[in-house]
Amino acid sequence: MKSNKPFQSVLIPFEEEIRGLRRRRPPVSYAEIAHILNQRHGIAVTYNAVFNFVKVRSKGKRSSYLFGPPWHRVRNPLSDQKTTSVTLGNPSTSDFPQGRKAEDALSRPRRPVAFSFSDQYNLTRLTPEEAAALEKKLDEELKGES
Amino acid sequence: MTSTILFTAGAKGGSGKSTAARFVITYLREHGKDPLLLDLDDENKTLSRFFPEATRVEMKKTSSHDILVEKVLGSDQPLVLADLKAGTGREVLSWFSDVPFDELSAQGVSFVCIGSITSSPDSAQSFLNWVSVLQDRVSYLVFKNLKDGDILPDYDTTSEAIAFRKNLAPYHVILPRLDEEYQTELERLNLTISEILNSDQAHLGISTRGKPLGRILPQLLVRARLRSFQRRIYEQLDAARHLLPLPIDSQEVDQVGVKP
Repeated sequence: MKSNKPFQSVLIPFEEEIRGLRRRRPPVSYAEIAHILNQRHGIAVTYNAVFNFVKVRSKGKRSSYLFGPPWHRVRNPLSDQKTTSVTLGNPSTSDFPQGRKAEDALSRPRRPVAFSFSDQYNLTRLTPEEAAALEKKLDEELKGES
Repeated sequence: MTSTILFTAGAKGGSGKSTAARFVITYLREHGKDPLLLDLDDENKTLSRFFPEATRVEMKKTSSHDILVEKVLGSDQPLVLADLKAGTGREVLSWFSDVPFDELSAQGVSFVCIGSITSSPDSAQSFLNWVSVLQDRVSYLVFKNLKDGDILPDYDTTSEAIAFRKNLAPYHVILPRLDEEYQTELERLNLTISEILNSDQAHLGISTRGKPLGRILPQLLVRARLRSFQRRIYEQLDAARHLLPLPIDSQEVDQVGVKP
């Protein structure tokens, strides 16, 4: 008997994650998102499926919550840095930061990192949202110390 | 007089440490600095392949690394760049554990760790192993090497790597993927981009060192692309002058091979 349940995409639980990846500047490609979802969560989707998932949720909205404001007007998170253009012969690269000013680097406080030497992989992978939250937290701690 | 010891770090082979070192060396030379080159990778000898003038060091025991410090102390060589051996890293890290950084700092000696991270999880893991020992006793110049992929998840979104980036303020250089054909030719012929571009006989297929350039690299458009590629790297290193060390507001002559 045919199920009466409406179709629900397998990507719904990962909507936030996909949104975070597309909001990166430059946005992560759909193919790469499909690969990341497969690596992290074991789900197998094509890049087309990811594209359709995103497109459906942005239907009728040029600046949807998934895409955010037009990317060329998005403040670069490293906004005090110049960007350089794409290197010829490598179309997949994108603008990247020039780097912070030397004076800022010299004056920035430094403190040790808690990490245990290991021959086995022991890094803690975070979602983009968790990573952003941790970066913000550490920035605030460092600001408080300086 | 201040002295600087630059050294490559990270245990994973093939992550691009020597490539990063090559760019730093040619950048320094084109800004009038001539670092003493030490090749401590007695297995691969990668640095020596590209820079035959590098001093090869036989790594018979851990204390063989003492040469890094010996060369700057009591000598007129203020700048040393050492390419260390890939491997587990434990031996060389145990050497670093014994280095009296405070005492050396009082004598004007500073250390800069050159790392190279790729999309491979192992490259981030092995580099952070080094960080766990070196901590804030050295400065960090990290090349984000995109040769295997544009995404570096283990460096961008792991809590340990984020803590490293925030707490130890490394300087980053993004190394884009170079056309595979050009990369193969450079490796095969042991050529740096600099020695191709600086040669006035490049169109004849000869480098500044008199080495053959093969069939592909002498082509005008190929050299134009290499120049563009190198410029992108150098522009990022411009902003890291304070680490290398070059004066921040340098008025040095930027002509090739001309020392200030």
